[in-house]
Formats: sequence, C-alpha cells, structure tokens
Amino acid sequence: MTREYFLYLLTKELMGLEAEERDDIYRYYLEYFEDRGISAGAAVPPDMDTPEAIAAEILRDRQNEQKKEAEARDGAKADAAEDEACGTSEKKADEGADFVSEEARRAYFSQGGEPNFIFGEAPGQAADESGEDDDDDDDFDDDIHEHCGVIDGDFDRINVDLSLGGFRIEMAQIEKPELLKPLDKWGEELDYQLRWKIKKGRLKIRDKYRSDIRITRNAKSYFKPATLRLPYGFFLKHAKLDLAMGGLEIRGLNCEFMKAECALGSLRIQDSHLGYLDAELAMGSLDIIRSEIDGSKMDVMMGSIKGNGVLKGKHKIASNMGSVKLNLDQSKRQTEVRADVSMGSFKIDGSKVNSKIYGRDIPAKPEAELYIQVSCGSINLNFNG
Amino acid sequence: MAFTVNAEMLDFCVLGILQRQDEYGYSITQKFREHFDISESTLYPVLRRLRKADCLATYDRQYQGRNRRYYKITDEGLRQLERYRGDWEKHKTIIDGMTAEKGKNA
Repeated sequence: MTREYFLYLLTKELMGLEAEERDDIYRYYLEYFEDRGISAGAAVPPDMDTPEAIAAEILRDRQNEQKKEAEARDGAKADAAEDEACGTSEKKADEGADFVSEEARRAYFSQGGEPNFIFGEAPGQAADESGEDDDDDDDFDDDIHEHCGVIDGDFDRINVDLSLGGFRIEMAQIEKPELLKPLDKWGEELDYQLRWKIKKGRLKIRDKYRSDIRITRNAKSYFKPATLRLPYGFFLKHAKLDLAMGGLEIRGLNCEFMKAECALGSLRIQDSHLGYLDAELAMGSLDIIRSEIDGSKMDVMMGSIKGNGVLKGKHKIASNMGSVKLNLDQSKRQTEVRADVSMGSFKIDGSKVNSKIYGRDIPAKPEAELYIQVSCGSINLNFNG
Repeated sequence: MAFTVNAEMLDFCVLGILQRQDEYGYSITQKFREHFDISESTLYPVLRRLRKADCLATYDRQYQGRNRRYYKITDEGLRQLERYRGDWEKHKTIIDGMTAEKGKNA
C-alpha cells in the first residue's frame, strides 16, 4: 500500500468527522510519514497500524469524549446510559462509527441548507451569479480553497464520478441543466455521479478525498490547454482523461492509475506521482516534469515524449514520429524501459542505471533493462554512473 | 510489563516530555517507544485531547521545505502536569503500601 493510498483510506474512514479535524489528522499522518522517511509514493511499512485501526481508535476516543460531555451535562441520565452500554461497549463502538459516517455523509451533501446537494445555488442561477459566489459562500472558505483542484478551460461536457464528496463549478454557463443528474442513492461503494454539460466553465473539486474523477473534454475552443491543478497530497485512485482536442496540464497529482487519451494536444504532468500511466497521444507531446512514474505505457503517434522526472519500474514507450527524451531514475530502484521509435530520436539519461540493451549484455544488474528499437533516426544514451 | 498505560498516564507522559522541550508528532512517538511499545494510532488522540484542554499549543516551523507542526506546553499544561505529579505520588504510595514486602512498613 502506498503512502497516498493509506492516507486516502484513513480520511475515507473519517468522513464522520468535521473537515477540519480530518485535515488535521491527514496532516498529522502525512508529517509522520515524512519524518519516518516514507516519501510520496513509497510503500507503508507492514508494521504500521492499518488505516482502519487508526480511524477506529480516533472515533473511539471521540465517542468517549462525547460520552463524558454528556455525563457532565446530565449526571443521572448518563449513569443509566452507561450501565446499559457497559455490556455491549464493543458493539456500540462499531455502531457508533457507522452512525457518525452516515451522519457526516448527510451533512456533507446538505451543506448550505440544500436538501441533497452541495452547491450553494440552483443550477439555473449559476450562470447569472457567475463570479460573485466566491466570497459569500462560507462553505468554501480559504481553508477549503487550499484543498481545491481547479480545472480551467472550456468544456462541452464534463463527466465527474466521485466516490465521496462533491465538486464545485464556478463561472459556468450551463446549456442544459437538466443533464445534471445526481444519483441520489448510496451504493455500497458510496458512489456519487454527476453529469453536467457546460459550455464554458471552471470546475473546482472540493477537497482531496476523491477517489475517482473522469473528465471528457470536447471543447469548441481548442487553443488553450486545460489545467488541472491539485493540492499537495491529492490522491486519485483511478483517473481517466479523454482529451479530444487541446491539452491538459496536471500538477501535484498522486494517482495509482492514469489512462490518458489525447487526439490533438499535449499532456503535461508536473510535480506528480503516478503509479501507472497509460498514455496514448495521436499528435502532440507528452511532458513529464519533476514527477515519479512507477510504470507506464506511452504511445505517441506524432510528437515527442519528454521526461525529466523519475521513472522506475517497467516502461513501454512507442513513438511513431518524433523524439523521446527521458531522464531515468537516479536511485537504484528497478527500472526497465522498452522503447520503440520508428522515426525520430531517442535519448536517455540516467546516472546510475545499469542497463541491458536488447541483444547485448552490458554488465548489468538483472533488474534493470533497456530495450530500444529505432527504425529511422538516432539513439543517444548517456549513463554517467 | 504487566501494566498497561491508560489515557491519563499517556497525558501525563506527553506533558512530561513537552515540559522539557517542544516536540513534533513523530519525535514524541519515538520518545515513547524508548520505553513502551505504542502504535501509530495511540498518540494522535492524546495530543488532540490535551490541545482541546488548552494544555498544549501548536506552531508550525519550516523543515526541509515543508511545515512541521510542533507541540508546546502551555501554563495550563504545566499546572495539569503538577496535578498529575501529585496524583501519581499518591497512587504510588497506595500501591506501594498495599504490596510492600512482609515485615517492611511502607
């Protein structure tokens, strides 16, 4: 389990608490990991308590506290309640945790007095009031702003699948608000789906506990790349990006699996950590900047792939036309690159990479492997180790 | 050890640690682990409880490009520590008295 997934599970378990409290816990454990030397994307050591156990302890403590407060308020009644609770305290704790979560779920989705929806205004009003709602909505204070993802750009359609929580759209002109379909049912997986058709919009993702976001973009104005900026520690289990035209820039994302399809335009991944990247770009480039990718399959028809982050694990790269330029992992982690370049050049830098190039053995550690095939063009390898 | 550390004793110990110097979450856990086997889930509720009771305050300080949260004992915390010390002495005297070797007066 990666550190990010651990934190995600922990915060998910704690949906029953107030957002502030949850942030506090999130932060405490993030710092704990940092101080223990467990960096972004690293595995949590097996001797750690599970997120569920940690959450249960916190919720139990909270319950005791509430019980004490109740006792202080009404001594006699509380005594009776305690007698009753004594025999089944273990069971009560479990029920309590569920109860709190359920409570929070309801609270989470009924902020601002709306019965089942998180938005401060009805869909029809959104267009009229665009631009004004940022300050007067106290659900969305500065603290929460820190945890918001922002998507800037023009979208024809956005599909957002959220496991927990919601999102916010600002400055939106909504063509067909009836396409907004919250599935107001809690499934076993707490799935919550929203579909919204937007001509021009900005999407804000409310906080960092999302586990599943899908963006489909079919924009009329293709020239500006969309930007997905995420707060530090934002974790997505699964991201599917479908970009018809125009590019996307992603910053600060922790994602276990990302699938990106881009017909025209480029994809830029910055300051992020991806467990696995499956990218298919027809035209345009793929830029990886200061990011860690544990494994990938990258296919570029025309355009280039550039990476100056850290690649580890297995990578399969294909470039039909265009160049590939990669900076490999500087540490001793296992790295394997298989690259197929039809036309264009291929360049790899990596100071400590022990490599095996297809067909020939270079004195190598068996775990590091490099497979390159170039039909036309040049290969440039530079290992400074 | 045959005895478990209960919530009040944890509070007492954390206040004792913080009275010497300000610490951050992981360092407090480490200090505990020199003596007891406590898990990652133990300390957070203690710190929260003490902070809520105004026994400790927090502040952030830059460390290697990130913020680290430090915990600092307050005046109220020092008073609470004194109370715990008194209670602990009484508690110890009682237990010692009850369990003193035959022939010795506690």
